[in-house]
Amino acid sequence: MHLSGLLSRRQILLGGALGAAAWLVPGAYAQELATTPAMTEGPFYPDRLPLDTDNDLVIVNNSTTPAIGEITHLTGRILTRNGSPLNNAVVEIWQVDNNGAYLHSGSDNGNRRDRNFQGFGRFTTNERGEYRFRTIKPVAYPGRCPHIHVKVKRGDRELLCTQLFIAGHPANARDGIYRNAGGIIERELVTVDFRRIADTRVPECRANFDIVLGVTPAERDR
Amino acid sequence: MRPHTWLFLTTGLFATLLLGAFMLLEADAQPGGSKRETATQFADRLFEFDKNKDGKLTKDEVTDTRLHALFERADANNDGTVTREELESLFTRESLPDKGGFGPGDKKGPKGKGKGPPFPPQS
Repeated sequence: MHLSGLLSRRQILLGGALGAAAWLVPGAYAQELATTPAMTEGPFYPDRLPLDTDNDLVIVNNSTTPAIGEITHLTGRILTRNGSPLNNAVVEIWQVDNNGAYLHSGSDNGNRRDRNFQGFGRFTTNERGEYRFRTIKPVAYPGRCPHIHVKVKRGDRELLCTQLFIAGHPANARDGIYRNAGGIIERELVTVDFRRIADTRVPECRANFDIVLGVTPAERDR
Repeated sequence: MRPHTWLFLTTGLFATLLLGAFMLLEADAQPGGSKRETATQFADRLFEFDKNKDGKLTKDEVTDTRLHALFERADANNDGTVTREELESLFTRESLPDKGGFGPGDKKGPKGKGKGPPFPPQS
């Protein structure tokens, strides 16, 4: 099946001859997935990375005090367009704390920053392409609807920078970056269900965000 | 033809090609912006999943499960299939205007970096 229409002309151009050749091989791909749209990195990627960059953003180092906010178990897979998992991909996320402050010297609200929230985390995917974070449900801040920034790297190469959004959040439709993510399909690909987990002592939720990359080093090596 | 005429024509052709390439990339830079997707284009893209070409989509045909929620929203009569008309109707319901509301927010520079205020005013 050809899903070339789900790719922008720019991606096709950038994909080059190799990408074009792949479309010509009948049955080369068992399935085709739509590429997750790239979105602006914004100015708040941490200007000084924390010492603790693990995948639990709710606890900093060995602190016994957790971050304020609704705990969220964010999971997903990094996939190529044919559904193959990408292992050893480094997934980075960063987001505001429950007060709307980034881990960045230029962030508004910096004086109210929750010192127990890590603000940034990293995880390397396993052989199934899976990643996992424990973080908080993102909140809105002046100018933006709730979102989490996500970057995918492998080796020295940055493969994708995007953002994920909460499905059904009323502020999404007013957010310029969300509106300009592309058409309805692109917005759908970055909009994630945050499902409340039943029977937890305090409210916690689960969110799954699978990311499909365009041309990757793995495809290049194939 | 005199040499400067050739130079003029070549320069003109090059400028036209450059402008054309720039316009093509610029149009794609904001797929929801300067070159908005139409309802027909939206339906066309999803109908690339119509493997048996029967003019109806089933959930099985939509191999990208991330689009299943969209499929369910489109299936207005809940018959398990989605027609082109249902997709165009969904497009009308869910299209967002380019402008208005707040944002772009993160596109502005951080405080003290000389790129303007960190956030636009909240609306």
